[in-house]
Amino acid sequence: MPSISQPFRLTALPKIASLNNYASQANLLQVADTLTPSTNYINVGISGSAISQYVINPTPKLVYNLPISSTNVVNACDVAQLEDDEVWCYALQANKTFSIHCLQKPVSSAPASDSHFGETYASNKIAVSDQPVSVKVIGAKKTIVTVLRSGLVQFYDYSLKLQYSFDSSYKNVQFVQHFTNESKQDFVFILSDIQGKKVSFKLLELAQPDAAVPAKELSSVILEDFQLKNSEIFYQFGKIYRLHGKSIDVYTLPYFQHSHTISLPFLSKGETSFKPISQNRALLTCDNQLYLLDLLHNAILSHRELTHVKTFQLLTTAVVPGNFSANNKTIAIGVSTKHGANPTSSLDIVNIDVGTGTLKDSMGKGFSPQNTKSKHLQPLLDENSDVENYEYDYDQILEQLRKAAGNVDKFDSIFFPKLGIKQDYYTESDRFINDQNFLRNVASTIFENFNSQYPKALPYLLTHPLFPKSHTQDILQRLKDHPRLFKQAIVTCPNLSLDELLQELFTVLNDELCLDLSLRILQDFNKDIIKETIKTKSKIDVNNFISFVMNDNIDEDRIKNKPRLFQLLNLVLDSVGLFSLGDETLAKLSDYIEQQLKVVKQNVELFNLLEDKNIKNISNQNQTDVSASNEGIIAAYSIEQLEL
Amino acid sequence: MVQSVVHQKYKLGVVSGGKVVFPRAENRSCSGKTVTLLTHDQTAVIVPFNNQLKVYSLETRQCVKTLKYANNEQLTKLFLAQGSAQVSHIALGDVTRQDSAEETKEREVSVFSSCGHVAVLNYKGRLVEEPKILNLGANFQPGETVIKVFQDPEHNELKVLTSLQESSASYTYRLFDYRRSEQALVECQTFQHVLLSAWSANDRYLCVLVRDLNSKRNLHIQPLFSESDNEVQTFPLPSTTSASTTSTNSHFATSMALDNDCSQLAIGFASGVINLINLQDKSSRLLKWHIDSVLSLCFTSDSSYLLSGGWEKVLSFWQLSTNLQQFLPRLSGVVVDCSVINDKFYSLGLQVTDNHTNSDYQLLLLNSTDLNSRVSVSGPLCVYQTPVKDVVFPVSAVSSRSSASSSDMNKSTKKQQRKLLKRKRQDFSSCLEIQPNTKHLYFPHTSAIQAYDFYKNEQVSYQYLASGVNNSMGKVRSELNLKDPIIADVKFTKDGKWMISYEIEYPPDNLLSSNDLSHTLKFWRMSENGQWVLETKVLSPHGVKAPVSSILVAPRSVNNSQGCLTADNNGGIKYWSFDETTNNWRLSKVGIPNNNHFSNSVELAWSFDGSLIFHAFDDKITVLDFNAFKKFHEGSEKAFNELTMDSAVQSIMLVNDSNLIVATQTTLNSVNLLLGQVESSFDMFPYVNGIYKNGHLARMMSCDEKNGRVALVINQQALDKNKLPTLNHTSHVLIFNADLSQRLGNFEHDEYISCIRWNHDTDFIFLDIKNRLGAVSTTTSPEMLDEVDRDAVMDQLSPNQFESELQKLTTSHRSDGRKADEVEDVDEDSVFEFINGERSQKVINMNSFTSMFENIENAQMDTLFDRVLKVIS
Repeated sequence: MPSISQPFRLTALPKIASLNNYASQANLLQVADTLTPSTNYINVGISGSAISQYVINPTPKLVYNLPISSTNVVNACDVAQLEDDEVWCYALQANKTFSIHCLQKPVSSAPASDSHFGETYASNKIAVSDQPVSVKVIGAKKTIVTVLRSGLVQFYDYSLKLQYSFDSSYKNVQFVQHFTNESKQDFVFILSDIQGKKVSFKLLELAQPDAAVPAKELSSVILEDFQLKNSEIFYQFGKIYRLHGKSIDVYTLPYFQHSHTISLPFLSKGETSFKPISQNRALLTCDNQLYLLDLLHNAILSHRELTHVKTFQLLTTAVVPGNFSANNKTIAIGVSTKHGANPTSSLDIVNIDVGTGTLKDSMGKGFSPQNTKSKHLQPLLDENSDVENYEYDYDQILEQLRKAAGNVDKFDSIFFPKLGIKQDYYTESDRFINDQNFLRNVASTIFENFNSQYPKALPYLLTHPLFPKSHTQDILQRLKDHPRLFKQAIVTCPNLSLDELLQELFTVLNDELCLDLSLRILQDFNKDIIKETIKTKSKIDVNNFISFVMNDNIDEDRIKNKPRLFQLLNLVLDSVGLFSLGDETLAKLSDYIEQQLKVVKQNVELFNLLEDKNIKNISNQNQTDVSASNEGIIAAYSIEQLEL
Repeated sequence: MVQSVVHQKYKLGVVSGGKVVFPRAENRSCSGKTVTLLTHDQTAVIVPFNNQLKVYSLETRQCVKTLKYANNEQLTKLFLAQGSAQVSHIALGDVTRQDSAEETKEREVSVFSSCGHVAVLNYKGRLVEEPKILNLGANFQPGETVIKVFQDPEHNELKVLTSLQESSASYTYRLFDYRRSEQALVECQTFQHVLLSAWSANDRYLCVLVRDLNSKRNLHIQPLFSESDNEVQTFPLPSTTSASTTSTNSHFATSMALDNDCSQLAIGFASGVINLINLQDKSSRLLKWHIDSVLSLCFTSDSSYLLSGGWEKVLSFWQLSTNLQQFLPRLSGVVVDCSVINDKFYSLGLQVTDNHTNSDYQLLLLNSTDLNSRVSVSGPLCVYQTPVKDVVFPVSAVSSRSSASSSDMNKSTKKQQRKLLKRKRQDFSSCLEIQPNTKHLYFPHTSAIQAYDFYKNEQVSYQYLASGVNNSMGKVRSELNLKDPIIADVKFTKDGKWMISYEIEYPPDNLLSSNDLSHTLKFWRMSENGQWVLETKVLSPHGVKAPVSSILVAPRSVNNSQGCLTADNNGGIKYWSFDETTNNWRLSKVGIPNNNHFSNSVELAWSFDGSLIFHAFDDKITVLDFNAFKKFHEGSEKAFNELTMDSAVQSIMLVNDSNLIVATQTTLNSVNLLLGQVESSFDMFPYVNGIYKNGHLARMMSCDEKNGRVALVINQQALDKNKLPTLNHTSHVLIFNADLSQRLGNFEHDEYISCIRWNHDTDFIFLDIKNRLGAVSTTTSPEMLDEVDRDAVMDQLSPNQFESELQKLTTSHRSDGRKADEVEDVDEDSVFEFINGERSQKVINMNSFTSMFENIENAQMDTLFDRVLKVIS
């Protein structure tokens, strides 16, 4: 089941005002984009403080810390693990000077103390001309790829020697995303703002820096009327999702074609952040609301409100690949900011179960706006005018019914004529009364306003196949004082709960009702569920029922119902077990069964006799009737079943 | 959910199918049932169908030309309109021309309709737009039909024989002379109370068996074109047995044949005896081999052999000089007609009588020298739920469901039609499945299955899936009441590699166990030679006597689509899957049935991602979690795991993984699963209530899984002027979008549609009760192309599309860097792709490139090149 757990704190952030500012905090906190669902290390560059590495398990702890000057802003940060070593690369900004740093170090294990920041092999630094928007350490190629605001894509080795530079020809790069395909090729796409609400999209293939063409442009698209400023963008499995306002636009790569738009009507105005989490699924925050969305089915898989904070902004998520992977658990890292004039912020981790991405998870959780079209039964063919069709003004009728509530006659005098109901039970000509909401409201009105005497509308509704499920709970209990309604509910009301039916069956003393109840139970439910539910019933009730069955009664209903009572007895004994019955009951039971067996044997003999006689006087017409009526009893239960 | 903005336009066309017409099959007094014509050059044969004329080449055994009536307005009026005529004779050349000296063109044929119209058509080249049509039947009585046209090429004379039914067994025949100058028919002779008729193959002699006033049966033989009276012979029908106690079958003549020089007459009886009369001395001898009615007889042109056929499915050759016999056994149907075409070919009319719901005719042309099958002509062979109107069965010594006996000849078809008319249930639905890979249509046909190519309009294969008496031989007499196993349902896995068939076996009649049907599920794999090979057979898959009410194949996400669900009529459901290690299908998951609740309204649907199963049983739809195979969120009251509908559910379909289309006996609903609400509902009650057997409405609905369009067929009985129902039907095909909020098409068809299916592409294929096949298809205009490509947003398996496109991009760039010869290779590939038609529907017009030049600044050469490629490829 998809779920979002309560976040837990990784670390408190230093008290720097800009880190508490929602608009800027995401840019100042650079979490290395290396998260996997099973990761235990988190690398984060905190502007004005440090580049740090944390472990999550067993308890969140700082394991490596590289302090930076308080005036430094971390523009980008990335880490790659090469066997036992790690390569760290981060970009710093101090006023208008920009630099890239690279260091190699062994994988940390011990917690960092203030005095010991961990071992470092090599550390390099290089100044760059413009602000780096992204740095990426590509371990397989032993390359660091940086993209500068000016549109330059630069390849460095680990000692920060420039290997290759490529001009993507658009200034003002806003968004850079690296990804690899199934055959492990590396790609990057770059989104740059162009004047006049335009954005350039470029897709590059990255090769070895010593290859003939290390960066090759695969596609280039200019998008009109597209603003990066107010959009939250992420890339996932060949698609780009862009949240702006209350809707998400989905684009497909490699050509950046617009595929469709998803509107989010549930989203209130607030500070939003939007990150991928698994295929077709995304995390969305709005102030302190955290949503797990399925963007294929348009459903809110899970929702959590973080009451103790003012805002929660997602920084990075560990994306679960594919749909059907066994592991659905992953994490997301965000920054939460508390309420108050002097707020504090902290880095938090949220555990997330992304679910399976299947329809199973999304069932009944959709957020798409409801179809406002009329709920009336529409005719299939327009031209066929002689087919009857009715439309009711449900709101008006409901209004009138509510006014008449409390007065039985008045209620009925509105209910039946207004809806054109001719019989006092449901017939196919009433199929036009199909609005579930209306039926629910009428049922509510009846149950709320009538107590001792119900209008005729209720028995009618009880025969309606669309009787609202919400009102079937405890309906038998409610109608117990009205034998006719009670029986009507047992016989025709849909969606009765098994629990309730069994409860009534176990306490019933009336053979006629017993017949109805057992018919209903055996009709609607299968053996497993009945057995399961019997187990939840009290022992006294079960014993009562057993003695009720054994209490031989020669009532006509009882005889009619005998096969079903045996079936039920069978189920009861199966589920409670013979040994849970008292000695006395057991003895009685065995006596009873023996006696029934005797009757069966007797009947069989009689039947054979009759059959013999039948064959002899085959001309006698009356004989066939006799055998027909006997046949039912004989065939209804067999000896094998009783020997269980 | 995700809706593309542009909808393709659908249109309806009846383009394929049809059945072979045996024009005289309905007329019991005619011995010859079929009509065919050898073309001028004797290389092809023209066969009439109920919707077209087909020309089959004798060399290649292929259909080389079709003349579709629907392509011409006048022919449509003649042969396709309600209650219209059939082809009753085809003659070479324009036989109606006024001046005999006028040359007839090589490619012309004259087609006579049963109403007396003659149409002169081209069978080569283009169909004439305004064919010459003459109405010769102006002075016909109502009900009078043309049964034969006789031609005398020497004197250029033409005579037309018509018949009018007097009573159930006897007919009035009228012979007309054709007056060329007036282009009209003049009556020249009338025969009253004709029981049976035959004519010589060379059109020179006519023989009729008439019942005279004293109920004595007399044979009357006369030449057709010479006036001399001395050749007219009349004599009483000789008796085959001397004993007077024999049954009526030995007196009941079922078939007759007259040889070319009027020297011998063969009469076949219902008892199986053939009486061969020498017309010179009236001596006769009996040929006994058949054990049930002789249904067809004919002489070879030199009168030395007699061909006979009947229920045995064997063609027998009698050498008349020696009385020796030779056989051609194992024909595919009962031999209802045989005739000699031009000495070189035997034409056999076969009827598959096991299908009692329709007259399934096949025409077989054999080379007379080696008896090799040259051409086999048949349309789709369909089994309907109930017999359709005008079904005719051959006469047998006993009466059964698939035969008419000599005694119930009196039960006229009129009575049957009255019964049909009165019945409320008008369920002529049929089973049809489309194989996902080959797109062949599969029709379960009694114990066999027919694969049919919709586009070529030819049968592909006919394979027996169950063993029965019928597979190798015909059934005679009491065997007719033995019921062979019936293929009740057939499905294909989504990958097309497996066929799942469900068959019902019937115990013999009149036993205590007669109602204990046994049920079998069979899993077939496609072998290399194109035959389905049985891999796994499951006896009583849902327990003894429990039927399989519904079969649903797994979506691609479950076990590579090699799985299926079956549901019984008691709420039980089972999951079967193919196990690679044991190389067998096995039962994998079981959902237990209810206690005492039985219903035939059982339907299944499966989400594309395989996670949920929707099981409709009676009026309830239960949502099952596939992994646990249990009710979804069992025990939780609030979970959306059960839906109660207003009446028994007839069909459910999961569309776009978010909408469940539910058709009940009263309404058609779209349930939004994500919101858990019913969104649109339509009133089905007037068109469905009691008309279809429970569960059969599903045959009238289909869903395009690629874009979620839903097709629904509504059949209605046509009303006459007084608003009374008639035997005719009209139908509508409605196309809806995925959530039923929009109606994308509403098409009318003039016949009852018995099944509609999505062809795993863009079209819906339907079958009507005249065995015609039609398509409701989309036309794609170039400006919509871009949108169309992206219609499959819901397809979870398409992420690879991105990968492949990316791959294409990178490789295309790589190839730029290669040497020139390698580049050529790539070009060839793309040309090849073009030939394969993958992109052939792309149309380039002057606007195609305009978008390319926008924002051209800063684009690299490679990118530009790519854009060009994208537009043109």
